[in-house]
Amino acid sequence: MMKRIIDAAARRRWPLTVLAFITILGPFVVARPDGEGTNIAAVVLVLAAIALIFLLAVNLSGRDPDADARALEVAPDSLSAVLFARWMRRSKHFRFVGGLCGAILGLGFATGSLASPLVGLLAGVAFGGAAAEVHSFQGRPRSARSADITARHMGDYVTPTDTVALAVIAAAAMCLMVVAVTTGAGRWGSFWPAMAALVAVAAATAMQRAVVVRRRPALSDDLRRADDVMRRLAATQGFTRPAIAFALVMLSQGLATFGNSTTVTVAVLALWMLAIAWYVASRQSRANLRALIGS
Amino acid sequence: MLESRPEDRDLDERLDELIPLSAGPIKTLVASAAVVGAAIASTVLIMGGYLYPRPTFGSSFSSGSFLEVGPARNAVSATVMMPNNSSRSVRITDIAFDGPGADVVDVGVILDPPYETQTSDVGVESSVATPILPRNQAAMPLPIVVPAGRTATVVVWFRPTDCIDKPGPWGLVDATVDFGDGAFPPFSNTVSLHQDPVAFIDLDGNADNGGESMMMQDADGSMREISGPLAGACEALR
Amino acid sequence: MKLRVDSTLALPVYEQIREQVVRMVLAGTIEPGTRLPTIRQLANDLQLAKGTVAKAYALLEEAKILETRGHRGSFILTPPKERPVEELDLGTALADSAEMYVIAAKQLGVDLDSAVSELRRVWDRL
Repeated sequence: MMKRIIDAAARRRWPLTVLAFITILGPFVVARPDGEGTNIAAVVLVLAAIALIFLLAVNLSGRDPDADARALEVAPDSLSAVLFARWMRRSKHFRFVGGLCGAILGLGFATGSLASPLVGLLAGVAFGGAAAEVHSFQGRPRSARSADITARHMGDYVTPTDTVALAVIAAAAMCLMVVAVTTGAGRWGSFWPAMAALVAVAAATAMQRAVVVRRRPALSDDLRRADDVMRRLAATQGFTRPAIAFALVMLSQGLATFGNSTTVTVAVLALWMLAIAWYVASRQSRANLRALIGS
Repeated sequence: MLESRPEDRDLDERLDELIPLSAGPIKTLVASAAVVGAAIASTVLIMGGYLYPRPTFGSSFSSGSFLEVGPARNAVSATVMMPNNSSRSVRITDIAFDGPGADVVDVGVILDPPYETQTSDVGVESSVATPILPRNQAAMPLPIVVPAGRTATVVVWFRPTDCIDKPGPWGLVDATVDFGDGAFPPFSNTVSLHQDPVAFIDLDGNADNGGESMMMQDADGSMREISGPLAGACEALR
Repeated sequence: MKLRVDSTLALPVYEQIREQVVRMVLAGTIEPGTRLPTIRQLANDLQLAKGTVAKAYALLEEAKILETRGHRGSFILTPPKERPVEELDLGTALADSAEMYVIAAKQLGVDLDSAVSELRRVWDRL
């Protein structure tokens, strides 16, 4: 029974997290000490908060009950499944912690808009996804090392759609920055969001290269193929797609400073929709995994 | 959890070289909780204005202010409020005023009057604000320190160069603040008070401050309605 | 194709790389036109300094085994006939390596079946 509750909690990370924070803050709002005893509602909220904190801790411990099943469904063989399951757990956990921290920091920088925590969430997910790929060699130090002499090309690991999106976003961001600098105070508000978008693109591109050239010893053919797929997953779903989503939102924030004409409003909405689409494409759903592994 | 077969120890080593095995639930929980805790602590420091001067966050409230003709009738003053909601005092070092059609003559800051506690004859305590002086007497030159929890009213004296009020917000103030002489960290920040401009001008060229019209106090102390800051200032300084 | 370097050997690591690439080219296991990994990628994979790998590539270019075409990468060339590179006797090369392995196995007290089994295991791994 307990295991089922814990697994259910691990499958609903984000709704649980939001509920936990609301519940934790609840007693401070509801508690009204009266002369006749404890406020029942506050006690119930405190107990609920404790339960939710426990379930939140389950998520922070990296539990992912479905990773093995997802890996077995999409992997071509059992060896690949073991590798994919490890990557899925690691990437999902890092993205969750990164996104949570990003949302919290976004609240701190909020200036009355709900967009700040969302922007922080996207930035945090991208950062967490990138951090998951920064791991140093774990094996015993040896004097003898081996390697494959096969060249690894960026195009084998990054989809053309993502590559084009990064280039278009970079160009749009630079245009916004030029407009901000040349047209004066009314447009200056678009400079920093555009800069943030550009930084996200640059960071994603640099991380893609780092993942492609990350150390790989000599491997059997099937393990090498599995590693290629894992690097492809890492370089697309892991951090590139969340970074694209974040950059699109930043472009929309920059564009919003141009006023609230119909054209600007439609463009801002379109950028938000694209950002949501790219974020959804970065999630570890079976459809997304099959699309990348099959390609 | 999927694992390689027991006889594949060599394979485990290969997998570990490609991607590290999880550190285990307890270590992962401790590390993750530490990271999230650091984010929460940073947010508290940011919102409290400890890391860099951040006196206002969230929406500022409307000043609902009126224009005032100066005693020498050579300038008109407008105000914008800056509450210091942070936990540290900040020092305003510079004010930038964006008011097209007007030349800025001077800027100053009035701190909201401190409250004194008075006890009545029957022992009831109440707070009483000290009287507010006229702007030209109360406004202090920059730089000025705004203690935590107090509100600063930025006063801008201007002379109109144009008498027609154009639609949109008018009178946007940016305040440059730091933590004061020698206070750590030595960051300054430009706080935009654009959510609380001097006036919103509607499409008819009239000031519309939340459905109410704009008021001006003449040099003799009388109050009258004006259509907009520029039109009103032109009429007052004619 | 695989490369193996050992920093405890007397032969410098860059020479080990050069020798093994030449061996593979002469044996035909790397065909002309094959693109080699970038210096950065091979240095990461072998945990070497970039300069070491760069030196090996420079030696291969000198010997007309390799050609670097700017950002497009480094490509294997057909060895020039007019300047034959060292002759490769496949039989002798393989026998030398086998002899090394057998001597090491006997020094460790391993019997033939175990030695063959270990050979198979490593063959499958690579």
